Amino acid sequence: MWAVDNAEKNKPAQRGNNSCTFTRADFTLHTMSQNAHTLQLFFDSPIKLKTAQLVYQYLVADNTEQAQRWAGELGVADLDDLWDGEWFNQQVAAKPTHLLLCFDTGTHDDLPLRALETLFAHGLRAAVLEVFYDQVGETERMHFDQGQWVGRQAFFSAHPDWRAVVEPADGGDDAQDDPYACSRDPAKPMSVAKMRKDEADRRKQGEEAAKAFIDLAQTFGKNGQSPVQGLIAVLLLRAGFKGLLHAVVFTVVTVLLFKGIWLWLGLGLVLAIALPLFYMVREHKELRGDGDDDDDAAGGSDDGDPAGPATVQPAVG
Amino acid sequence: MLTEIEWWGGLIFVLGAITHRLVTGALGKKDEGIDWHRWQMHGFFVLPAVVLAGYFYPLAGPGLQYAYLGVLGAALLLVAVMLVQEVTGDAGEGSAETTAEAADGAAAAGAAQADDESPGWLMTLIGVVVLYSPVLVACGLGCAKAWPMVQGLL
Repeated sequence: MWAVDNAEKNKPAQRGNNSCTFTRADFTLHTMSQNAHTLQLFFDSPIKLKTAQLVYQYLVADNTEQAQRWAGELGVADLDDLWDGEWFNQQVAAKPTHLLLCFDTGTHDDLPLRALETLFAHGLRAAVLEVFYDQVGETERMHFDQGQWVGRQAFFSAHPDWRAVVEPADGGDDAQDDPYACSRDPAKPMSVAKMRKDEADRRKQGEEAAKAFIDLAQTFGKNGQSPVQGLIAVLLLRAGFKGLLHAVVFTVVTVLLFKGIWLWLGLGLVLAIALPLFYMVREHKELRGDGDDDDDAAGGSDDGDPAGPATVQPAVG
Repeated sequence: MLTEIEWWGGLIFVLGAITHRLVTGALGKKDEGIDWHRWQMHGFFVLPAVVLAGYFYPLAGPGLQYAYLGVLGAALLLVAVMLVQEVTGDAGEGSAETTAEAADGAAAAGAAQADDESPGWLMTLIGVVVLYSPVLVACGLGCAKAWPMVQGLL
């Protein structure tokens, strides 16, 4: 599991600070990677802005009692809806038009979607999130409006006055390099609630897949077999069964629904042979493709064995 | 057999189902709101399927005949709308391209063209006709069955 040493945690990550440029030298300054978040929060009214400012300033000051009180004023019952205990290096600053919230997270932590969803339900009108991924040295910006993740153009079409605030000109003479071109835009506007749900689903699927793989590897490890080879065999078998199942369903449905029983039985028989083969070959091609990629990354290896990674031997013990 | 559908009707059903799967699989998913184009596409395949199934039944009563004519009319209307949309590329956002591209692919394969240029409207039309031939055949059979009915009802 991910663990961040406190000393490392207290070291602030290189914040993008509205700039998308980052040098390799900066990257080497940090031994432990973290993601630096900068949230610009625009509220419906100055009162909401002030209340949210108090909540976050008390949270930053570790005064949860007062933070809870002002969160209640904002209409939020649970502080966890506004703040994640895993955040660190937090700073908050009130600007005339918006609230600026900065914090760092571990590289595996999620985007602050829960806080955004709660704030959008309690007076937040728009937000701009900038994340600097320390590990890869990349910055990403996301724009939110009326509870939806929107594209950069759509955001500034709706709020042209905020461009000067969100994307201040750095005074550089090279007008062609847009330092804010690192915006990640959705194909279509997507609600923050749906983003959260998708993220949770993805995480759950990942965990299930990892658990299934570990179980499988342990099973094969006990038998003294390569877990990778075993996994490939299981995937191929599954593809074969899928083809067989499709053929059986096709045959049953067509025999029941249509006249010409021998025609459908014959077609079903052909499919019962062809479909499993087709699915297995397709699966094998995909697996071999992945294997080839791994080989390339490792500097190349013999191509005689399509299951190249199968040379990994489990630690039996 | 649970139905009166002949083996060749079954083949048309199977081809239609494959086409339906290909086309709807290529459609982009709409995250929010009602995806009208997807529902239109479902209707485009389901209504002719009902028409084709009705073709194999006698439809004795006038009520059944009117219902059949109604379904056939709706199916023909949808087919006409879809074909116009496919050829003009005027369908719902992000979806016309997918079906038209599939149709173009079918057309290009049918004509065995090695040309890299994108097919013109004629090739698109041929591709659409090939891709949607099960639907068109079903509608044609429905019309053949409906014509004596119309004459009898008038």
